[in-house]
Amino acid sequence: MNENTSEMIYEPQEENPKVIDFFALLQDPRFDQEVLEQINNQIQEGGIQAAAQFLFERFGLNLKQMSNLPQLEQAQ
Amino acid sequence: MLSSASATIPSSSVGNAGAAVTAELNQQYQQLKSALAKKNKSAHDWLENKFTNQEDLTTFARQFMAAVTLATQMAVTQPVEAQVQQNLAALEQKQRNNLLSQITTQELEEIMNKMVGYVNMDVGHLPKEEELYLEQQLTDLLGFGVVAELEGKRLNHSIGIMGGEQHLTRYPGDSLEDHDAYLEAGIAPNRGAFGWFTEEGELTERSIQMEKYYFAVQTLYLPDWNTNHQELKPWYKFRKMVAINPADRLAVVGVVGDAGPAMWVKKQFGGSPEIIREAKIWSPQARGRVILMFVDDPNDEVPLGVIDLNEVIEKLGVTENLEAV
Repeated sequence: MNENTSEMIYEPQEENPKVIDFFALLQDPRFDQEVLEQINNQIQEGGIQAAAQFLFERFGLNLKQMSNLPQLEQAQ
Repeated sequence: MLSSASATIPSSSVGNAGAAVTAELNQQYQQLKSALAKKNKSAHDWLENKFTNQEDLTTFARQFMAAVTLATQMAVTQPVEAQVQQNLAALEQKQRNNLLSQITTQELEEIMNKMVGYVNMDVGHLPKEEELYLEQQLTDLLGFGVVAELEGKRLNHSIGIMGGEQHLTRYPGDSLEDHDAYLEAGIAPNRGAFGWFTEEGELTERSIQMEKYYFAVQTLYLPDWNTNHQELKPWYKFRKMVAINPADRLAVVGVVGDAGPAMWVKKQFGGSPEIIREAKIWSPQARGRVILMFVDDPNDEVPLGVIDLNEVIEKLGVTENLEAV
């Protein structure tokens, strides 16, 4: 087990589902390397707002459906 | 697999209740992580290469989800707001249109009623203020300039009775049978006071139209006709005018094609067979009473013929909007 793992798990409990959600969301193949790289760049350069704007422009109304997080059963 | 950023949840670090949740989260996480490698290898590989530090991955995951949440709100709320704004704008526009149509309809009804009143008054001209009002209303309604006085020229009447005229010969040798319609009206034995209707000796479509829609006006009784007819005659020749029959809500654009009628016939204007019939000048309600004014049309753009004022109103959308009200 990687020691870094415990740092993630020991975050306040309400934060953990967000990490879970993140992995659940990434099951959608539309979040490919290019998109992830762009989002990372936007976060670094313009913060959350810029990343959100990028996501909105990239996916538009599909984002609502995409962020309708897949149930765990579906992810399995 | 995400080797450097892989995670489990140590249940020993929390209480019993917390341990259950943590175990569940841990299970979900492990399952999702495994699924990611299969379902979205691109993202899996990117994460694996990008984050060798668990903290960085966690931070990115949180920021990513915050951005997704914000973007989702934008996606959900923005179109709704835009739609609401559009609906509000459309509603306001409709209300404005309704208000405009009410005003326009009211004004239109008012001007129509006024015109019926005008034509039943004594023949002559309206008081200056009313004349200006009428000119403006007709100009707005018809979409071209309508004036009682043009370039300093004014007939003796703008309100009067229009009598029916015969066809006019358009060119030497023209006969009644060569005219298209209303042959029962006959044809005048002499050519019109302003000459043949031909253009450079040719009977053109335009000259045919001019004879079809010609007016006779009393230029011969103009106070300065005898002294200034050399200037006046060419000015009046085929001058475009419009007659309004307010009782039937019809207008007709034509040209001055003849002089008359004579004073003793107790009529102030004459109209071609087409004008009299198509503009219903002598309908029971109209009884020949019309308004006749100049068309200010320096570029000769206004076509000759009858104009249905009700159609004009409909085209302006007034009637439809009135119904919507």
